[in-house]
Amino acid sequence: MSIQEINIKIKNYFIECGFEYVELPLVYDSDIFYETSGEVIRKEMFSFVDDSGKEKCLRPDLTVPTCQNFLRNQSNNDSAKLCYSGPVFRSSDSLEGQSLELNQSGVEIIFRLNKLENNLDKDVEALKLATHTLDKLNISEYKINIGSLVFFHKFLHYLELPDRWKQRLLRHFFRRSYFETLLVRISSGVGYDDQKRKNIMNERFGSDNDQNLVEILNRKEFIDLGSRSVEEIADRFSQKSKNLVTQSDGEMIVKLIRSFLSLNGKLEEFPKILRNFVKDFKITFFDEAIQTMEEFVNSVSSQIKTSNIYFNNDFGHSIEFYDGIMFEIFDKTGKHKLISGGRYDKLLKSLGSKRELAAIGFASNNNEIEKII
Amino acid sequence: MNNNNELRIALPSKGRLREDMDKLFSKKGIIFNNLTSDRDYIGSIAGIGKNLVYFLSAKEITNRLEEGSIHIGLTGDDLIQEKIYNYEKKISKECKLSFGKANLVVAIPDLWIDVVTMADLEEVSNIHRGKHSRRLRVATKYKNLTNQFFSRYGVVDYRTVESHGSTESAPFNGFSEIIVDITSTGETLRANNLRVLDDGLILESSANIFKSLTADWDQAHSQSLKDFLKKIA
Repeated sequence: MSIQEINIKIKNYFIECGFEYVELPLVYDSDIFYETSGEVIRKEMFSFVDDSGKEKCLRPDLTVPTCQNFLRNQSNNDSAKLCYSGPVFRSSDSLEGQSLELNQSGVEIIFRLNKLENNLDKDVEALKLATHTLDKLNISEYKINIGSLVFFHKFLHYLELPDRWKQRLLRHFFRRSYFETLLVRISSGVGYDDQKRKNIMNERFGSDNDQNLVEILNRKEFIDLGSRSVEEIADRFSQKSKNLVTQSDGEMIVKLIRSFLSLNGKLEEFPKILRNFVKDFKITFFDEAIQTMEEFVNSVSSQIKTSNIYFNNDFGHSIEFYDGIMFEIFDKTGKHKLISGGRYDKLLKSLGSKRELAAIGFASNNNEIEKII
Repeated sequence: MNNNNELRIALPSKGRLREDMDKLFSKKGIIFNNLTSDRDYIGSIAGIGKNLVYFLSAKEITNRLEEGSIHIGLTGDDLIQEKIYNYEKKISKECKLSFGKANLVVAIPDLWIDVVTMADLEEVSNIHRGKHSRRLRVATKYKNLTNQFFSRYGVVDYRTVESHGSTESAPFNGFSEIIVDITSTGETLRANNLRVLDDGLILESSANIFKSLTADWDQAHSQSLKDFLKKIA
């Protein structure tokens, strides 16, 4: 089958399943990708400056354009099932700047978040559709890896760590080396102690009384703060000297985090693995999360064959901007990544949505699929 | 151009770099032939085999080193690393010189007393984005070096805005929140109420003699380069 035939076949299957096909432009303002994906995407993008001096690019991904399209054309809808198919353009360091045109077919399921539920049904729906897509292409042997930031989030929630540091760990879960740097820092203790704070105050303002920090900062007239407010600066300064974590506490916390992230195994057995972990470390707070995991496993196994599904707490390091479940499907050799996807509940908001809309989606890598069929 | 046999050398045509180079050359007894005035844009160096000297701007020298239309050139690390993609594969450093020293640094408004390290900046930029729905702006002429450095420290909620001079005033005229800029003594930054982050040193730059790996080299060229480096060392 040619790439074009694969593109069309998958697209038609999505339409058959009730997804609305959106035709998307090839060229976009670069800004939208910088704003949603950050500067890291710059070196992967093919960009150029148009006559008016505006930076444009060939689309490096289809999720952001699809979500943008939804917000423009269906802003009154609370849900949508959209699909796309076609090339994205990325240059890659491993190919030494060579151009790369990748064909993807994908879906985005947009829905209103039910705050009282775990919203697992959409995760299972996406996972099921992904496996059916491979069935449709007569690919019968594959391996599914799943991970979820939700469980790490819940786990972190109960650790005795300042909230700022929890947020940091979550933000950088995807950046393996920096995540490691953060763990090393936590294990040596975090926060200013009182003396250090006083020293800074003395050095700067000749007084170690930071009760009136806002006032002191306000007295420094004519000095601009570059868009931050005096209150914000004073507040964060005093936050740093609260919620101290000592070195020994830091070491224990990091040991717990590392052990948690090392858990992995067959999906069906994962609730048991979690229970053993909780027992080993005498953790009392994780029952609710384990129940959620059980519900997820039951829900998946009632609809999909689970013998080839694996759950890995560490999975997700280095994968884009997902903030919930994430999954990847490989062929039986493990060499070809056929499908990847996940939840991105914050993306629509960052594109300007005023409402709390969540989304899950996945895309097939049709160039990889072409190699194995 | 019928100059295939000469070693083609590019040197700075003006400014501080030129003055410091002239001082060094006169100390080392390096003399230009055929130079009628210091405004000439072409000449040659005496006593190192066949060579041709072009006087160009530091930026132009960087471009010419990359494309290989000159063999060696005198310019700064900052320009080489910022302007040339995969510079390690195209350029080699032959001799570090004692002038042109400057540090590329991350500087923030001095009164951000809660911000001392890149880790603080990472957090503050994230808060900024949550609050204003846009990224923290970094004014700089060094977009590539900034991106590499920031990504090493996990700073992602920012974007660079291109500065064309007086970068140090950008945070106070609404053009950006912070800057990445070259400084030699730090005085200009201090005078503008800016402070360098404790771990905000991106690059210690100096002037160097660089060799273009993309130029055509023969034995005579290599010998002339050797002789030149011996004189300058």
